[in-house]
Amino acid sequence: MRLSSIFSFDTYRAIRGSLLWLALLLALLVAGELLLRAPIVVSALPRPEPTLWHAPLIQTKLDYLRKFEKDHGIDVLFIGNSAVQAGVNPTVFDSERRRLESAKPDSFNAAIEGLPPYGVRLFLEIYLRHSSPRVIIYGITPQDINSASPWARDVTQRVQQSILALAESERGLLGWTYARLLRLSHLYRYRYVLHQLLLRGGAMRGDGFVYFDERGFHPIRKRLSQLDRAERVRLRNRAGVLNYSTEGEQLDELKKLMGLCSEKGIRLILVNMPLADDYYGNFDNPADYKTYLDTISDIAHAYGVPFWDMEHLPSEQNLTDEDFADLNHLNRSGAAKLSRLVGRRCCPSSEAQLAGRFRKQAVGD
Amino acid sequence: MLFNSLEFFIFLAVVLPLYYVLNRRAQNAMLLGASYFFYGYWDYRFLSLVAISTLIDFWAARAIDREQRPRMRKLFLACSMTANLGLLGFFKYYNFFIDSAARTLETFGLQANMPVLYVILPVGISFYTFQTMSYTIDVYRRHLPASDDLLDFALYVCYFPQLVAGPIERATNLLPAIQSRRVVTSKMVATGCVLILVGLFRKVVIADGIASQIDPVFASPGAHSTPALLKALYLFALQIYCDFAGYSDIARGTSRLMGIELMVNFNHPYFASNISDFWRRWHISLSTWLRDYLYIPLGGNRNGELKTYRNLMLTMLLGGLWHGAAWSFVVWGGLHGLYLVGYRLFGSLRKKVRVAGTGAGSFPFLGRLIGMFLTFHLVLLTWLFFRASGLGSAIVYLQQILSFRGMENWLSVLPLIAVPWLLVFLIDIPQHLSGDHTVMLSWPRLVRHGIYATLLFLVILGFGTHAPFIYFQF
Repeated sequence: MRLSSIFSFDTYRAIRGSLLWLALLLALLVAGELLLRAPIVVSALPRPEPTLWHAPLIQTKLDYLRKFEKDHGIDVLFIGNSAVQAGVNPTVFDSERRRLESAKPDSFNAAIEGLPPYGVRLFLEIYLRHSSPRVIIYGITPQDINSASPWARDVTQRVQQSILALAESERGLLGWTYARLLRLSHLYRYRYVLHQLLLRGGAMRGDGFVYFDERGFHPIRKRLSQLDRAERVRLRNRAGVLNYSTEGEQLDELKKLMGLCSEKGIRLILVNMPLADDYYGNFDNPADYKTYLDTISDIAHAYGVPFWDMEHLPSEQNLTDEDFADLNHLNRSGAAKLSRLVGRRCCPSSEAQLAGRFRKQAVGD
Repeated sequence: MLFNSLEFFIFLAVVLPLYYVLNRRAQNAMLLGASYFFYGYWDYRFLSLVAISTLIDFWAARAIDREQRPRMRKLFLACSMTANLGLLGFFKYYNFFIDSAARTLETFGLQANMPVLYVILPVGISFYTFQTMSYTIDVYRRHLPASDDLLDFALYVCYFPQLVAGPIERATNLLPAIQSRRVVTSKMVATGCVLILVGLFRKVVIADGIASQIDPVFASPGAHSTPALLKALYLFALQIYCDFAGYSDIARGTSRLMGIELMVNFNHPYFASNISDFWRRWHISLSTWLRDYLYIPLGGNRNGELKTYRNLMLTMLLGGLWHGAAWSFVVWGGLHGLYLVGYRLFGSLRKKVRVAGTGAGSFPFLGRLIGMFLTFHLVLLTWLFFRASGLGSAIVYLQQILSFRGMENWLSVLPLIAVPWLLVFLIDIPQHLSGDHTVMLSWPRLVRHGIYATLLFLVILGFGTHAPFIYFQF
């Protein structure tokens, strides 16, 4: 094969010239690194974390989890998306269990808004580096396992690109490298803060309002019953369950999550989160909801994991529009009801009794 | 594969040395393989679509070129157009039309059970489909002979620097470069590197950096005050410019490293002094495509004022729909169409006034500044529809802006808007005034290298979010 003389002679001169700006760059990097080691500079800067998570306040939640683990130890961990974050109040859950079992349970709501199973599994890996719960309760909703959901794809992509998520979990070589880089280089740790300070002209707000309590629960006061018809229609979010199809990445991730729990000897419970009646209008086909239930039931059965269907509650505990903030998030009163019920089901003594009162028999339990 | 990812630079580090040691024919074969890898890295299944599009147009153009009978030439052209538009229509617009039809029926009280399919939008389909269509049309118009080399033609369709988000290259420009021997000069390497650096600065430092101030506001416009909504809108105008122009800069820079010149796709559009000027500066490869293959064949401005207005509206509406299968994009295109019609009307009115001798145009600089300000704000309004998650959301956004809620905080958002714009202007103003996108190369050595080092330092600070380019979805 004949080599082409693609370079003209002076190309090499240009390459030599570029060495100068690489030297200047190196000088800038070293200066930045040294400057960020000065305590006076660091004290003037905002915290280096949050930042690259897909949603704000995730680092705060992680900090709360670490603190709670240190102070109390975590017995039961709730995971899932915003439906769980707003739908389970660990304080109510614990008091219900304490009432029935006279035990001293300590639970934490580690759910994070927006997370489909891909993100839930990654965050679980992070949580398990800091705590060792006995039981994990995963609250699941139909949109979680819809492989056609653009929302799930978008969040998955954001989570996959989150340097902090990878570093915190130390997943793979990349996660390991990020973790070391964050630990060793101050410039690397502060790079997002510096970037944002530059773009915001030096004004950078703090974390803002922390909407969850120290146990990770997000109480919402709003009531769905107060909204008129037009507002309810606006609340519909068809994207999450559009073209409903359960086969795909998210279901595989759910299976991996089950495998992870089983490997670590943690008892996993899947809970079908309650939905407001209007939510079902989101589906193209009413049968899609049954597809979702059947799919979860089947894999729960296959993995020997209990599946509690909280969508179909005993009549006296039935959740109405008074208990919902919108179509798929419970408000504070709804969360209290659900937390009591889940707490009761967690107690072996009352579990069998209660199970019989459910309209739909739970699977695999 | 994203230009702002580590994978891309590893890919480039493998491709470039190989490219430099091979002869032209082997370079093309290697580039074709690399381009298919580049595209398949996202989803290999859609490589078949690129291949099908390539084969159809290769065959159709050759048939058109060989055929002398006008009817048969037209038939082959129709085959190519049907296949290309069919692919685009199915993958990009199927669900949109089905959904729209179902909603229309619902408004009349009819329950429609439309066949809903889960159709993924293949990245860059609008770009490479338009590129292959322009080639076949140009061969039909006898603007160029059909390529008889499948390898060269396949590379023209999927040349990786511009495959997924343009520029939409004409065969008359790119194909000759692929068919001839390339020479990489020091100037090409230097300007290529500068373009890549500026592109990364626009994308990684600016576009990705301000995204956190935009996304939450557009996600729930009802929950934000007027200053916050205005801030997000002004920043989005900057984000979309930096995102797309940044991509084009990186594409052009990468291509120059291989001795191939791609067309300029953005020429400082926000310095446009009127809407017509804006469209000569924004996404130039698309606007010239629409002009040459849609507006002019529709009759352009040759059949009187009314038909010109109709042609402008149709072109811009279809241009809007090209961007995405949603009514908000149609509104975006419609607004631009209306602006162009309005500008044309205003132009004829101004001519009449000038004839009457009013002395218009006495302050050209001031007039230009006012024109820039007005044009920018007209375009800004269209970005609202472009970015909002739907038509309803855009209307809520507008209503919330007009509610003037929380105006007491307007001063606090000013620096948040101004600083990123100023950072971009630091690069754009010298480029605009000199008319040269690589003007930095003519600056004193130390200043120049200091700027490169600073830009790279900022890119390193911002690198790692890997946010996809906005225009990938089109």
